[in-house]
Amino acid sequence: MYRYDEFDAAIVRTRVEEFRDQVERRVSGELTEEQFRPLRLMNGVYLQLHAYMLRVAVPYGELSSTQMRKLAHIARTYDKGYGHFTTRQNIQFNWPTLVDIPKILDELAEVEMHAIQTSGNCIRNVTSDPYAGVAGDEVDDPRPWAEILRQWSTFHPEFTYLPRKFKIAISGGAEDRAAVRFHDIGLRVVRGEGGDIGFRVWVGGGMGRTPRVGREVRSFVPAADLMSYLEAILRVYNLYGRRDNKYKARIKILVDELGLARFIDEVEAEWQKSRASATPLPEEEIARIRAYFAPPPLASLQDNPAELAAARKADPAFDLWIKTNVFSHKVPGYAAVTVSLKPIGGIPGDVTADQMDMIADLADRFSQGQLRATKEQNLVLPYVRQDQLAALWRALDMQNLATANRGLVSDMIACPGLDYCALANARSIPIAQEISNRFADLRRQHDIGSLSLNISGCINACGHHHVGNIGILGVDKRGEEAYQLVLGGDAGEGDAAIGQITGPGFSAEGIVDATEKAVAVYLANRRDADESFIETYRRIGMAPFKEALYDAR
Amino acid sequence: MTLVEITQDGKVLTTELSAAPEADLELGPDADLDAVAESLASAKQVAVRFPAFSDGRGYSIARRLRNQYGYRGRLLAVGDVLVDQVHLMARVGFDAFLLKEGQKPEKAAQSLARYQSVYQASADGQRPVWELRRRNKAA
Ligand code: SF4
Repeated sequence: MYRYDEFDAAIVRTRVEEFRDQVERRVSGELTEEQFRPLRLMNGVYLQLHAYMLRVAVPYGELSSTQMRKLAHIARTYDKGYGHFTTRQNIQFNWPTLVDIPKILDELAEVEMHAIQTSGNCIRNVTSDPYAGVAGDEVDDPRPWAEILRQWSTFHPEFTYLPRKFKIAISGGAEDRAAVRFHDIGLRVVRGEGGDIGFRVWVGGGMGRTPRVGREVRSFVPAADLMSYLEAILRVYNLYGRRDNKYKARIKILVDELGLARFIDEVEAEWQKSRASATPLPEEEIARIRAYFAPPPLASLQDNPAELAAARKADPAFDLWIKTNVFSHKVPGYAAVTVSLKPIGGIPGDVTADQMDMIADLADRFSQGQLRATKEQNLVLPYVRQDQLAALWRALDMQNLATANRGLVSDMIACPGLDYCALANARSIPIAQEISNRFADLRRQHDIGSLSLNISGCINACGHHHVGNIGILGVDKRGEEAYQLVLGGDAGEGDAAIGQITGPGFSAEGIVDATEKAVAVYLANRRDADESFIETYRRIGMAPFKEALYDAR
Repeated sequence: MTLVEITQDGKVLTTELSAAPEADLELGPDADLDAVAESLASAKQVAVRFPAFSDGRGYSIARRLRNQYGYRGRLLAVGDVLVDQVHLMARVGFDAFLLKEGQKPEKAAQSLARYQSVYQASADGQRPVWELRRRNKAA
């Protein structure tokens, strides 16, 4: 993974000092809350319902065991002993005090971490594929490009006071595992006609109250021009994006209002003007960054060793876990393992300090000290030997981290909702827990098969309900918490779709029943066990679901 | 009111003024630069107004003035200009800042001196780290 050099280290240290000074000026009253707010947000500090929250960046999801131990230490020392992994591959601490935050940032800087631009109307932490460097279908490893974007976007002087937040995702595989069409800018690494590396670019995807699938603005941007092209997009947005209404301020609305063709014209015109004076990133700098992502030294092994087959036969629970939580590795004899942060009845994405320490130890023992955070709020151990999978599984199981549910109904995405969030209409976490308990039987979940279920506590859609195969949205119904059911969403680039509302909302208990009913409709209608929920939904449409949900009421 | 300036040789000067400095041209955040291109050519002092510190259009205007319109004169930031933003303003090409009432000039100077290393090439001529890395390696 990437390591800081003296420049990176100095920039992060300087930011800590700057923020310390800003906190002191806020405490002394020199800064008003209005003036302080964007400054703290740009450093990941939110004011939630009950306390401050600190969001720490895990750039494109890469994490070392050393960093994980530091996160455990922070959870224990400055928080209530746990942290929460988010859908943007970051981690949040829910209970730090404002005056402790500069100290926390010092501690993070010791392990080359920070909270820079994890919030605010600026370019946010760039997200990517958690299986980068692992998946066999890669055109190119997206991580070096993500790191280049991290550096380029850090304190970008021109784009720190944008109309609204700005999210970029990049993926490098034949399959998109970074939901690139649901970001302000989505990038896929592609090869041009001559075989050279470049990027296909989408703009204006996103969720929130106006969900949009990103629109393609260029099929190929040469790698060397990536930054000047992105600057052209951002300049057009910074100058012409709406600032009069925060609900219309995202770039997706600008694309809507200008129309795609005119938006593209504006960007191209801007690019032509600025491209000449831009210095492309030198080849050797790209090579320097790329070198950090070279694979670790791995043994030469065979796939499916005898030990693995024997262990699968011996223990059905292990076998079940292998089926869902193991992703095939491009290196023979290895696997990438999902550490489920979705125990039955648990809070999606929450992890205790003790679990973090244990996961760090397991990363050292089994995965070259490396970890990844996923947008589904799980963790991945990217370099596990297949002949050690059984030993890893037993160790994870002891910590309640081996639920065999990756990609299944209980592998839910849920936002913090009304338990923490000041904007929420309704609670998300208890609904997630209820549904998880309702589907507690793992065999049943495996029978149901691949199904994404996403829950947001309000229309801001932090829980990605728009792109869940089943989505649940918390709404306010005359002062009561209520929930809408949404079906048919899909986050992947090829099949990207925004879910449709089924009809009238449900109570907190009702929504759990409704979810179960929707699953029952799928089971009754699927062609066979290989047809997934979303495939059946696409084939049979909304009507049978509506009927089951509302007609009998 | 307090004017903070960056001189040709990179020094930071602070002056107390009784009236705002006169500009040849004052641009709002929605200025059409093509429409004023002619007056830009002869202008010595151009002001860009920030109606609110959170309105970042002025940064892109400055960048365009410097990098696309070739403006070389003094570029003055006026309006809701706060000390925590001046270093960003300097990077996109401003070299003078009329601070908002109550802002401390010594904090502005601190802000301007703070970041020794930057990740982007911009309008201020500061070399991004990727160029320095290359030089370090060559040395
Ligand atoms: S979706 Fe709404 S309730 Fe949930 S975290 Fe986002 S803003 Fe808060």
